[in-house]
Amino acid sequence: MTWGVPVILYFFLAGLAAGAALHGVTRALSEDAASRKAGLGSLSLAVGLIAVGAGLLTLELERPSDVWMLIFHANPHSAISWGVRIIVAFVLCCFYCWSVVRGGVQPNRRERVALRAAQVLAVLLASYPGIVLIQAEAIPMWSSWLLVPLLAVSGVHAGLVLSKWLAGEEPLERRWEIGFIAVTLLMFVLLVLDRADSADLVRLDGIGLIAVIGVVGIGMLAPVILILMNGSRTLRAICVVAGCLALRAWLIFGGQTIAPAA
Amino acid sequence: MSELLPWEKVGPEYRKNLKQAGMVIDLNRCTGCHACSVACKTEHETPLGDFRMRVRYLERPDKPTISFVPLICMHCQDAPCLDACPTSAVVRTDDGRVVIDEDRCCGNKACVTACPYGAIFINDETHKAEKCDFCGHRTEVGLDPACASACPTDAIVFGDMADPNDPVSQLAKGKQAKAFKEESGTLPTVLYVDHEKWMEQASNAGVQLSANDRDVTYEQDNLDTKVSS
Repeated sequence: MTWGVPVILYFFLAGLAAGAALHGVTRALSEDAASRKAGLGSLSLAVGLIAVGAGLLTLELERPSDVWMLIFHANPHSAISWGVRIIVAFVLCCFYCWSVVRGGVQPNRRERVALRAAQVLAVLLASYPGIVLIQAEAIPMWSSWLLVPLLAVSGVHAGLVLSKWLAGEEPLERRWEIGFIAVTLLMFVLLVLDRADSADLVRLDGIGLIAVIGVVGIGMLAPVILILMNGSRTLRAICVVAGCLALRAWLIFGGQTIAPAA
Repeated sequence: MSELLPWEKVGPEYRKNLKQAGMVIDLNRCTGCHACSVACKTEHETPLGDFRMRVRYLERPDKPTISFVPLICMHCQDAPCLDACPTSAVVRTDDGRVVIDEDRCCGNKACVTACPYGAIFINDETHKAEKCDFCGHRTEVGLDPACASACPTDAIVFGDMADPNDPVSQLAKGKQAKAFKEESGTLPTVLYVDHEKWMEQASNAGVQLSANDRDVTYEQDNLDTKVSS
């Protein structure tokens, strides 16, 4: 396989980082001082996750020592090239927001602009992996624009759930949580229907198992059941995060191993 | 003035006005002798298991015969690898060839996943992306690419696609040569005479083999090791 486990983990961590940053910034923009302070942890989590992800991405390079080329040689047509710049801007912006929140005072106008910029960068961070996959024209399974919202929504959802759980906060409102899962499910179903080789993508063996058990079972059905039954919020968070990882594993492994349909 | 004989077509003057390097491969003439792929491997010292040019042996789905299909980088006019490379290591030369600037390659494999023809691979020794460059070092001094020179049946013809009087253009027009995977919109400059649609499906990954390819060839023996690594 051309792209392996490090890429899966990077896409996973980028989504989580985006969700964590959105949570941190939302807290930082709040009127309540205690709530603002709670944003610190999520912003730190976001930077930590993306730092680990970028490290994994570097290890995936055939020549990790040449990683600097990705920063100093740009290609405006390349999604990866844009992604590298989004990561750099995201980390710098998160650091600035972190320093703003750490001050403890209500953010001024300039600081609010930076916080809004962090939100935009978080959305871009969650979205661009889908565009990276679309540019891989050799892999038919990835040639769908549905990947952009699918990866963005599932990543942001998992990041929000994880950061709220780590902060010891109440979970997302039920309608929001079900909304995120419904959109992810819709994109997932449309993607499978869109592909001529859909039967192989979701059948109950091999890669298809990741989709059926991991993405749909653990990532979607289990959280919905736990929400409706007011089940353990820890288990809910684990299921959502595991589903997010399974989705990426299915996409990366499945795309590279399942033969295109005749 | 009489037409130049093949051995007279050597020297910097020949091909100096090359605008759009291109190739026509006549599948009716190909005997599957592998002279082209051997010449290519010798010319570029390509590692074992990787190919800049590979002759695929494809089984016809409708009758028990085999077609020989030499596959290389298609030097697309709208090359996906060129867009995908984040460090701009894939560039187009003045004569229309798509080449990899090894000094800029960090081995992120974006080009490998972008190429619909499976023409790019990572060299296990240099850890950089590699593919056919139409033997730029040969064509700039007037020689044909190694594969075209080695072909004993003249199945591979190299020339200037932009020049309507060039033999390659006339061959492409006269024999209605077609590109592989035309619908992908990449506008290849490598065209095939007697190209049939089933060949595209039969040669899933293109030049480099994948687990989905089942070629009837000695190269298949090494495939499992190559794919799993």
